[in-house]
Amino acid sequence: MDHEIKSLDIGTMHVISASVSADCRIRFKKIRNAFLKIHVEQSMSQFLKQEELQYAEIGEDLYALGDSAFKMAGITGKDVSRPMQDGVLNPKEPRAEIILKLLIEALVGKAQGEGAICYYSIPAEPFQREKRVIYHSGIIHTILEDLGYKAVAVNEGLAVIYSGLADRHFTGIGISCGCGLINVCLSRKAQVLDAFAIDRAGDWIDDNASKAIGEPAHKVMLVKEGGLNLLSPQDRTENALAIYYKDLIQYVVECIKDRWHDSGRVSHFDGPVNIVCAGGTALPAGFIAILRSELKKARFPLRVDQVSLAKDPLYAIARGCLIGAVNDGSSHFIRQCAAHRRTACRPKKPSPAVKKPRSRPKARPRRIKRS
Amino acid sequence: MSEHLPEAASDKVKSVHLVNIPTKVTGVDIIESDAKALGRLHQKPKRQQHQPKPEIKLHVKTDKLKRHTSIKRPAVPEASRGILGIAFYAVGRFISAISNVIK
Ligand SMILES: Nc1ncnc2c1ncn2[C@@H]1O[C@H](COP(=O)(O)OP(=O)(O)OP(=O)(O)O)[C@@H](O)[C@H]1O
Ligand SMILES: [Mg+2]
Repeated sequence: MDHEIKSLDIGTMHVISASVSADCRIRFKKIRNAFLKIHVEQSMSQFLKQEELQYAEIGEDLYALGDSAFKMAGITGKDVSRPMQDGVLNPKEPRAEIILKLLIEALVGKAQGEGAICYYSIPAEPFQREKRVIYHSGIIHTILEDLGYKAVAVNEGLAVIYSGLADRHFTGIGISCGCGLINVCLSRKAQVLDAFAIDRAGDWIDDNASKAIGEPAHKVMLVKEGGLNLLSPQDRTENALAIYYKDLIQYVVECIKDRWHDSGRVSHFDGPVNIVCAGGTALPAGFIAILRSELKKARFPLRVDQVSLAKDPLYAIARGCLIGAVNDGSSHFIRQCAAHRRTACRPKKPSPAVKKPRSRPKARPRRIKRS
Repeated sequence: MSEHLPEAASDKVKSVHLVNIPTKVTGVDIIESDAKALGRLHQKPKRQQHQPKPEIKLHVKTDKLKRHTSIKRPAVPEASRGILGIAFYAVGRFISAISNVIK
């Protein structure tokens, strides 16, 4: 491979990287975007090391990181801290930038040579007046450039379209249903006609369901992630989750309708469009069915053909960004992979020891002339 | 640490233990055809930009016309040629009328 080609989906809950390796394989790595400050004691560092937990010592403080932060939160009964909130860097966490840098470095590493590129996802601006995405994107850009990459930002909704609407010439609607935000993108032939974000998503469901039934939010989240079926909730918690899920989906459809109603953006489409969803919040069974039925009920400004879930929804954004990076990064990439595959699949020549003697072609049966 | 990162971010990182990160490996086929499709889409407008301009050969004899297969479309469409002709004729008439008056 000429250059390193990588991508990053930097989300409120997960940071996911994807990279193309020299043997033409795709490697995804996933880490929870969380940390937890721990009491510094000798025994605690020992414990972290023995258990092979993820942690860092910054200044005088010790922090459990990623999935280990959740584990430690379970043990100590505390809540994890988040470097990001509502899809962008958390303004209430002074350590947000450094923690995010450590997580990003652990996923993509330092660039090995010239020409390394990394495409990363950014949300559309959910807080129009505050312009927080500019700061968020600027910090990630700096982190990646410090690591030696050419960094390129991709709108999260467009990454979903790259990932799920190739067979439709990258035309349609991509919705990334994350933890802090729902990102919506309308695209025609890979050109963004509109992209916006709604600041309600997975966290909003957890918070509201937990308040409604008086359970801690992290317990509600565990139930939600443990295989929820929105069409047949089994207990009180699942029922609360299903109610808030339905409300969220209705809200998303209303937001899209309000935005595109009377808008010239949708006039580019004569025929029906496809909608593809991705992200962790789109995972529960019944999500797509509810979205379909809400779209039918609403007087949606576009004719909708298929509504579907992207392949491997949690990884779809990282995959979409990688598609963008591959397309930009190396024109040789596809040829190289094809060449690699040819050499990998070519049957080996038999060794001389077992070489078969060349058999003579069979003699044709002689025609017997009949007299 | 980068000088662009805020102050709190430039605190000294003494050690980092980010081990056992869950990894998933797949074949390149999960992006290959999609990346090709995106590449094709991005190439199209470029090719259109570099398209050679149609050759202008207005004085081609009729018998040679058949051999000049490079002429894909006339530089000036038929209809506007007619309108241009009328316009030139009108201007010519106008100038000759004025010169008559001046005489
Ligand atoms: N199996 C599951 N069922 C339901 N929800 C899930 C499941 N797995 C993860 N989630 C939820 O999905 C959200 C995380 O999804 P994702 O990783 O796509 O978001 P993110 O990219 O981190 O956030 P954002 O894009 O909003 O910044 C969380 O709210 C999490 O609780
Ligand atoms: Mg996301």
